[in-house]
Amino acid sequence: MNAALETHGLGKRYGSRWALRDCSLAVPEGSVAALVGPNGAGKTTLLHLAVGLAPPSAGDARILGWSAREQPELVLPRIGFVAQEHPLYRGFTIAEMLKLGRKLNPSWDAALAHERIERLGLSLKQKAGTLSGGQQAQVALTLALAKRPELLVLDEPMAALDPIARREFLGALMEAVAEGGLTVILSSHIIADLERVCDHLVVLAGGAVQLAGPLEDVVSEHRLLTGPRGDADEVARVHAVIEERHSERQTTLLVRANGHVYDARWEVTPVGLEDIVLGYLGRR
Amino acid sequence: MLWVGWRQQRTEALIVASVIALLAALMIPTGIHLANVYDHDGVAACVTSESESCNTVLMVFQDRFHGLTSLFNWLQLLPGMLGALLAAPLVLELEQRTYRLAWTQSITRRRWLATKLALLGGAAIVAAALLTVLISWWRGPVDEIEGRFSENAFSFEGIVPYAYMLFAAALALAAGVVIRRAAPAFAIALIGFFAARIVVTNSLRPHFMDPVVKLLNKPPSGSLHDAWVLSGPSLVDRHGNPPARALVYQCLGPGAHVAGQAKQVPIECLSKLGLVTRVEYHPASRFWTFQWIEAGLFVGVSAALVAFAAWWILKRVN
Repeated sequence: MNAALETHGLGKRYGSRWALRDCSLAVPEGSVAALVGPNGAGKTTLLHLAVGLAPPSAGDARILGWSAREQPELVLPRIGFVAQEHPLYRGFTIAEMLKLGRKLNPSWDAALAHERIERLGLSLKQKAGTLSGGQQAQVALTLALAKRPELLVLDEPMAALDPIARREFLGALMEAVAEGGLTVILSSHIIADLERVCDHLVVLAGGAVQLAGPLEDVVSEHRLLTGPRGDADEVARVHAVIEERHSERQTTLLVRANGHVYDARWEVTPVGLEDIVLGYLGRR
Repeated sequence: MLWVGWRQQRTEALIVASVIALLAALMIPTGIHLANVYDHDGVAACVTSESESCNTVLMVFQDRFHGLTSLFNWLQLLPGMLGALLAAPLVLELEQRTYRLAWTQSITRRRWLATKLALLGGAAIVAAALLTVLISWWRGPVDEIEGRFSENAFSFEGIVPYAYMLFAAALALAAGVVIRRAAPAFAIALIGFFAARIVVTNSLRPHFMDPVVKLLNKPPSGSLHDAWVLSGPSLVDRHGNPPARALVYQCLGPGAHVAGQAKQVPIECLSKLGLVTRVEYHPASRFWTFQWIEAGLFVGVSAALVAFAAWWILKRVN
């Protein structure tokens, strides 16, 4: 399995503050990976380091085996990137934005771009600055998709969208993925949306990777253990305890189970993605 | 990339073009008038003559257009404003964060930057060329009389306007990449531009070369009309010091008239006392040397500013 994105000890420091620290992860080719974390967790920093917008302070990031900083001519044509706030040239018409895409990208798919714009119900003569936030996000996604990238990197693509626009956006994304040959990495702090579309999860908090792996494994490995109030030492000897909560009579543990949990003291229940992620976020 | 760069630069380029067109609309009719008067009122014929009547003709001509030439001296501001304006699209790219879109297309950041800088430099040079041709043509007759070495003429002609325009653009660019706001970068560039111009014109330019010092027995004639006179003509004694007032009064004071009959007498009287006329100037033949030195200075600083901006963009912006 090749990695679409692979980082080793990746770090970025702004002044004396580390925005991202010792980050090592691999996103396999063909997956749709969600990068989850609270605001300020380092998601944007990680994505900017990956696509070469920012130089790393430590470690390295490789896209399809190449560094975007050192071999931009190999990496840039293979990625589609939509930055947070999905910037477009406000004074450009949509037609001019598409022309920009055609002029700057050798593998530009004009037919795909026009078809998408038409389907969105947008006019080519409309200025980018007059579009709504959702429409701008869609145009930015169109530009990224029409590059025919191997890896699509989206930074908080749905933050500015209302629920309907969000569903349309995800729909368009899934359609592009279904055509094959596309790896997607998208960052978000809205977990519910991601569960439907993603198959790989990276949880980032406090500038460090808390959890990374295929979504299925993540969900199946985690359990919620509920039992009489007590300490978790015995469980912790076999399983990784992510989070403990104690009420007056009860103790609840979120564990990443190492096989089955045999202890009869605990009632074992499966746990949803959102609770798993929140467990990790509460840990830092 | 060329199309994209041009499309982004278009608005500013059109503003600059309109300003120059407006200026041409003002300058061409007045320039034609000026040239007509110069040719037909016998001014042209008088430039090389030193007769008394010709001096009057020249003075009348200079007086007549003095208001207009001083008005056009305000155009000194123009290269600064237009140059800084041309740098705006690049700074706006950072301000509006569209660089994150531009730098993740298939072209490298280096090529993006090279194209943008080439377009910016090209636009600045074309604008400077139009301005220089227009203003030099307009000033033509005035320059015949006064030369083009005076502070104002010098800054409008030759190659320095190109250097000024590039300097203003480079300054706006350097300020813009650091603060990432177009409006304050524009303001900083204007202030920096005028500060640099004033310092160079007043404190550096006179010392590009050692001025020629001449001691004359009589006041200088028309031969210095196209030179850049730094000081004088003034009366000095043998040691180069200004003479005592009493000494001068012997020849020029009210008492002098008693002995004096003809006009030339005060001069003879002064030279008898050992007083001479001192002039310090740069001869007109140095015009191009000074142009190259000043242009080199501004272009050199511009190159350093652009190199700094490029380094900042390639290494520090993310």
